[in-house]
Amino acid sequence: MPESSDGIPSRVTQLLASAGRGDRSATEELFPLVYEELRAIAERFLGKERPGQTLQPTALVHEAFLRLVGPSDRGWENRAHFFGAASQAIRRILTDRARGRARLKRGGSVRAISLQDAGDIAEPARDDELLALDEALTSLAQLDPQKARVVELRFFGGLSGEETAEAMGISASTVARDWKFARVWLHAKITGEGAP
Amino acid sequence: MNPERLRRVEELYFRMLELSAVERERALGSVCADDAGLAREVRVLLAHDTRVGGFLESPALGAGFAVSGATTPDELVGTVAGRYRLDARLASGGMGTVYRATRDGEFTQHVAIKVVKRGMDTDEILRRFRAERQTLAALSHPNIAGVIDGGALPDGRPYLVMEFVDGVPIDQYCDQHSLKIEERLAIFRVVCDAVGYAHQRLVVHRDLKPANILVTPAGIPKLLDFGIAKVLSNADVPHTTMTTVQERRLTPEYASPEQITGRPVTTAADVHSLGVILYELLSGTRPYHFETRTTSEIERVITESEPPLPSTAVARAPASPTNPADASRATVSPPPGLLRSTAPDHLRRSLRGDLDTIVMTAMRKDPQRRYPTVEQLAADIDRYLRDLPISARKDTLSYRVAKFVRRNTAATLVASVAVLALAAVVTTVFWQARIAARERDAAFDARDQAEAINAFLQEMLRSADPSRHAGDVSVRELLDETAGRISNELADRPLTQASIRNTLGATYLSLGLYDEAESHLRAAYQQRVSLLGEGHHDVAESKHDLAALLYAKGKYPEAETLLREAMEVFRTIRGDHNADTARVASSLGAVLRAQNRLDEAERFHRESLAARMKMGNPESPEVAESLNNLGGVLRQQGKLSEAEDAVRRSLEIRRHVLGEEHPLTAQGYANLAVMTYALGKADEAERMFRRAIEIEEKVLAPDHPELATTLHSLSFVLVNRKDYAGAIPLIERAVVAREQTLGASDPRSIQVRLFLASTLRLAGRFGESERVLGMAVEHARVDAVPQELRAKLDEELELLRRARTGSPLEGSK
Repeated sequence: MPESSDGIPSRVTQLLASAGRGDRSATEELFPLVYEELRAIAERFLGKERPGQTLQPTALVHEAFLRLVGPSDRGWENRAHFFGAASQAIRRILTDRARGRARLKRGGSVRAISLQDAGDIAEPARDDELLALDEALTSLAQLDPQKARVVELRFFGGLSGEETAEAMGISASTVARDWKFARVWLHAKITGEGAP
Repeated sequence: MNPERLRRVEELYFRMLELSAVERERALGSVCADDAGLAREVRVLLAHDTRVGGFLESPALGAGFAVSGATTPDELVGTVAGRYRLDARLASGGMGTVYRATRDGEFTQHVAIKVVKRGMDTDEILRRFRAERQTLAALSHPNIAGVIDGGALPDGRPYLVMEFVDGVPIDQYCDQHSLKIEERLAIFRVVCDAVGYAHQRLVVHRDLKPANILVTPAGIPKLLDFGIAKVLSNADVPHTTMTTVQERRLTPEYASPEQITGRPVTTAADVHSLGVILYELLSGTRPYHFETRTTSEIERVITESEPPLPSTAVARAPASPTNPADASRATVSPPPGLLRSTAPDHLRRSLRGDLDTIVMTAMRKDPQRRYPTVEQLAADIDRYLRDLPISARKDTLSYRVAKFVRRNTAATLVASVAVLALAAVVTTVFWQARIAARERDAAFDARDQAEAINAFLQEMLRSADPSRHAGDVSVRELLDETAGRISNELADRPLTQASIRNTLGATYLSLGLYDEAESHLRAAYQQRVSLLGEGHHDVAESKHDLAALLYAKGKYPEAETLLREAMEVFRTIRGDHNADTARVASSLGAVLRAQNRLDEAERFHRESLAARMKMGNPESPEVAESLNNLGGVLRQQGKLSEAEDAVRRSLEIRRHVLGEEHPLTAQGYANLAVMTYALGKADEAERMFRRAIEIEEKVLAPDHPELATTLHSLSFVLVNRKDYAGAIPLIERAVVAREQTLGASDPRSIQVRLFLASTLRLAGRFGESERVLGMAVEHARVDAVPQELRAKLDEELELLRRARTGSPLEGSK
């Protein structure tokens, strides 16, 4: 059920169209809208932590796309920009969430795990890794923005290699190469063995 | 670290990957002789290369995020879903994963099971999954991989059990078996049937590509993956949400311009994809190549670039084997793996001409200019295979002659020629009038609209079952089907929609189906007025056609108003002597005559006739129409010989131009019969009425108003000759026909019923007469029945009463 206000869907569609024409400010304006929507959807899933139920990014993004852009057959151009914005938004949502939990833990006694954190027991390592990844990815973006975007789309956006190629407008083989290198580079960086 | 250095590291890293461990050290040592740090960085990465495992491979929101995580094995393989055991993972798409599964029992059955991915089970996706199941369940075709069963896993995720197709993609199959062109076409032809079947059920596949068309070892193609199919109708299929999300993005190589640009997608998109597939099957190369995969590049290529003809593409494909003798050998080579049993030169020659045309017609940018249906694409392939002229080919004389010469080497083709000939007859009978009108002035016809209309109509005609004849239900069914489809398929082209509605309305009118005619003509008129405004040519055309319907329904004043408005428009924009003004003048004459304003009517008919004669061809159907209508007025004015002359000339033209078996030729016979009867030549009149009926029984539906009129007329002649027994069955048919098309309360229906009653009375069958008359009186209890007709009914009641009591009055006894 779409619950966003009437104005938003058309605004997003407009922004996507502008972004498609290369309007950078449109891309920037797009992000918060997509972010809010994704966060709302993600909270429904992540917040409740139904056992055995995880939400995959493509499903999340599609749902957001539906809500924001509306049920249309709009192909390609719009979707590419949308996926870009959505992947970034998911990255932000996840790191914020991990950061929040990490802060919570640091604030209390190390041993005292509060009841409401019970569901998270298995996850501390994951939160740290996620934050480390976010940091490493930011470093990578400064050195090679294209590779960082590939990671964002593939890992946070859940796109396949081909889809990433389509969304970025580069060849699938370039994506494959960037992806391979970025994964190794990030792995080295995160596990702290003096990554280059 | 800076970007420059990272690039250097990357370059070395990939270079080292190709080498063995020993070689790596040697190479690194020499390349980084003066930069030990660089060598160290590359070494670190190489070390992580073996430890990276499945790091980041599962998306962030999925289950498997962990640095140490190796690729997780599929947790479903080996488990059981319902009665099936999942054996192996076949493929993984956006929303689901497909497994090969087995059902053990008395016999082992292999199936494919599609499961919604974990985490993908949002409401929307579940809805789509159900929609796919429903779509597939509605499709039962030997060449479509069907759905067998469905269910849910213990965790609630739904799954779909489908026919398991053990096959290879069609392009690979063709190449692996070195199929000849004809063999490729034969398989492709079967694919068309399957797609056409889906289209008839209003399902558009939208992602046709070789990977979705598998060919079994037995050579049977099967269509897969209706995952993003779209159901066109929303009347009877509740799951329109299917159209909303495309879980997987398109495969741009096979996508149509409208899919790329996000315009509405119809069956034409599948026709386009089939064209691309055929292009590839025949030439061994894809029509579209993208420099980069940017969306703008893809859009540019698909919507703008004109691919080379398949025959030209073959010419440009890398030369086949150096030794031409090898050309016939089964060689499997990567694209353009075009080495089949045909040598390149021969292949080029075979493709040039018809096959080029067929492929390029299917692939046209404008969906309206493609084959309107898959059936038509298939039909052209059939024609090609039989050396018949293809429909997409320009109909030049030399082309037809060339085809004829080739064709007649094979005697087996007689049957198909006969079929085509029959189809041509149907065409002539029903569409000539409209086509003639369409030809009137190219400058006033928006060309693409006319093409779209032609395409639509051709489609209807071509799928008409020629074994059933004109006026038959089959034509009507086609009209009804087309009518049902326009609002869906042409929703974005209201003007074209209006044109087709108008044509449909006119066709319903010519079939005597007034209610259907009225709804379409009125809709077309309103659509045009709102989009084009008064004063536009097409609006005037709509006014005229709507008036023609109102005339047929007996609503003369309303018809007259519309015609005078149309006349005004045509005079303003086109002047006095042109086809449109003349047509309206002729119709106006008819409406005035129906209101008994004979002098005015005569003036308009003469005006129309003069204009039409002046426009060139004095033997046109339009001239015949004017002569016919003028004759009618003259007869009523008592100028009998002049009238007979006009009608006779009209009939001659019609016989000559339209042929003997045409509704208008029949009308000519009937009208001439009326004239000759008025001149006292009863026998000649009867003969001509019978001839008219003979033709009308062949070319019109049994309840057609024209036929009813002729039956009424002939029976009138018979009654006057006191041949009551001959007349009564004819009048009874006329009553049935009138009441079916006009309703029992229409004055014209009551008139015929009254005539039947009095004839029965004259024949001495008083009881029947009373019953028929009683019903007429009953039907006449509505306001629309004029007073004088009611008076006639009363009079007939009185006559019947007297005839029964034996009171002498008139010549009964």
